[in-house]
Amino acid sequence: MVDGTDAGDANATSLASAAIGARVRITSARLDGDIAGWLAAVGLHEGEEVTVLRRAAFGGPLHVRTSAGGEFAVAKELAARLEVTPASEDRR
Amino acid sequence: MSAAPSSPAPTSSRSGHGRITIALVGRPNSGKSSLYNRVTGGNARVGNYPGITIDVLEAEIDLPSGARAVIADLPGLYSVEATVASDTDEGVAKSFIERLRASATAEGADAARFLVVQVIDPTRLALGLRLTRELAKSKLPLLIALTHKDVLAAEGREVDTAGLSDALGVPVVLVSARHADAKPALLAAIDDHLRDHERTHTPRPSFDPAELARAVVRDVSSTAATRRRRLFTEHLDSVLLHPLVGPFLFVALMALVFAAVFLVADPVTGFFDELVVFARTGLDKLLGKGLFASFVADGVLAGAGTVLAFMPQIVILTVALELLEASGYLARGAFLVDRLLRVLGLSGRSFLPLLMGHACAVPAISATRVVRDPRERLTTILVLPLMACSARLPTYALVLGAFFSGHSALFRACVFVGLYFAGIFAALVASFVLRRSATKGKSLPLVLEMPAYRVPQASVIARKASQAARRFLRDVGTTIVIASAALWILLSIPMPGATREPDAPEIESSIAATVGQALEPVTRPAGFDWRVNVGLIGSFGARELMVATMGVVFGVEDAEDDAAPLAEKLREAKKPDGTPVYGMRTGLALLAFFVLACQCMSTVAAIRRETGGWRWPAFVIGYTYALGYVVAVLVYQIGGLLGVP
Repeated sequence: MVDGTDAGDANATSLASAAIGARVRITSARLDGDIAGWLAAVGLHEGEEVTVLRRAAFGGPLHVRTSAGGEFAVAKELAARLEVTPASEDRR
Repeated sequence: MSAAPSSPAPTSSRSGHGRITIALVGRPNSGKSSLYNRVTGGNARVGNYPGITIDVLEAEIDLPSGARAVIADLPGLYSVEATVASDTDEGVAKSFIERLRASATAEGADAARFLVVQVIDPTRLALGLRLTRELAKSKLPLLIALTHKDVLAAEGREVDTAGLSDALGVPVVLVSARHADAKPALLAAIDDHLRDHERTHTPRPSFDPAELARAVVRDVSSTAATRRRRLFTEHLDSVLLHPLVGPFLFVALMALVFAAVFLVADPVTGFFDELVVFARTGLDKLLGKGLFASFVADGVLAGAGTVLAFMPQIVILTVALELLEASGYLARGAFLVDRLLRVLGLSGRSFLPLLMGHACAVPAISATRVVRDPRERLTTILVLPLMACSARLPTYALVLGAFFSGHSALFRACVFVGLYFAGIFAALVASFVLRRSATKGKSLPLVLEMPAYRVPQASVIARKASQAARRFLRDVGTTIVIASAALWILLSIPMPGATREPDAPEIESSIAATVGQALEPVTRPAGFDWRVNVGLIGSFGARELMVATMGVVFGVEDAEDDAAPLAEKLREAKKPDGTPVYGMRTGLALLAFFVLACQCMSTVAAIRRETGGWRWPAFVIGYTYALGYVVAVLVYQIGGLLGVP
């Protein structure tokens, strides 16, 4: 269901590579439309600010908190497909 | 007032005009099911875990105006617009809403004949309002119920319900499902809405959820207590999800749950055994000795006894799981084990059903509806029968007692624990293989909402336990009783044309014995003779019947109540040359077979219900029996080569 482009590899702008404690903003989701739509409904949509709280051991999921107050476990493979930029300090 | 699980077809569509249907919708963990329980005093499954409401539960209620309405508790739902598989929780909720709307239109009734009550957790208001916006866009008649009023107050926050109502164009009511006043407040709001619908309430879909949430939720207090309350979940997570301490606590907690199940269940099971013995004595007096009396006592009553023996374990495990779930810990467990399950092609979402499978696969198979991905869900269903469910325990105990009596109690305890891990290991290997063959394909990686920690409600947990007990009686109990009665026929009615020695037990001429003897050439490589085969035939429908069947074969009365005399008979059984019939390696082979084979018609029936056909249940029977047989043969033969007696 996840599309076929360069899976898993962490790059500098994916949520998967964000440091613990970092506050970032989701800019795009490299996912097929259905999944991206569902993810947006869940609370991980473009423009949303996300704080990385922790990672599970051995490359497990990320625990993140969104500015809307939701907390989510997000698998690393999926986090690698969410492009992020550092969130500006004036919001929150 | 009654409540019963139903298919996702709104009751109003069945009962015609004049009926009002109220659908409770909301994100998982929004407090929807607690509110349903408060309003109906009823039966919904309540949980603090995404998608825990398995069936759509309905109950009839009287509104303050005197009108009668059906209130339905829908599974958790994030979106009515996003594409979701129809057999998952979200799909069930979505199609319920669609059918509700279609039935109202088809009957030409006005929209007031149904009402969508969206339940929102105001501590995460912006998230809930995303669904509100979609519901408003669909022009559904809508009312907003904000729950967790008490939590909001404890956190020193306030929500401007009037401002929110104005912005949304729909009525908003703030309640706490923990307080009795939630019921009249919600029902009055529903009544008002139904009455005023004609002239007011046009939902407005043009708002920004985050902005609106910021505008209506205010901080009104900032004491040390409210600050502590706001950071409660964060502080607890820093311990429970700690990279080192977290996994350790997780394993300890799971061990505690299972220890509690067995320590508490044992005396209660003993009490039920006494009851069955008492009933049997009464039956003997009433019916005397005869074929019919034997059928009632050894067939039907024995089956009922087996069902009762399970009950305490099912109830206690349900309570334990509900506590973990309602507290919010289960989602943390899923977070911790996701990586491990990913290796095997599953995800943290499969964790809850796999854990439940250790009590009984039947409810666990229903619980797989929380798994959003269809392939992952099917894989979880297919491997669940391998988990060491409580029905395997009497047989494990008998085999250990019979074949390992010369070893220390510690050794036997280690084998016992080993059998549990063997089940888990087999399920993990099977899932690894299935995800690369029968259920191959890409899956959606884990996205799981982590709810805030909450104190579970005792009354709700108690209701869950009684609901689980009733479900078990209905779904599994009847199958066991029928299987037990059928087994009695196989064991007691002579095979036409079969002969036996005058002094041999009657069972030697039974249908089961004839089949068991015919199977001997196939089962001999695993060390099973015809008597073990009869036991296996007897346990085809329900594996726990193995002990009772072997009791009949060896002429031991009430073996299921006290297996020690049967274990002794098994040890003493000798071949004509004086060597024991059953050595330790027969025991090991038998254990291997019992770990793997799906000897449970209730599980098969549950798989058929969830997969909508006979293909996958047949697959499960086929692969688990083949695997059980092959491994039993390997164990017996390798044991022989290694000189195991």
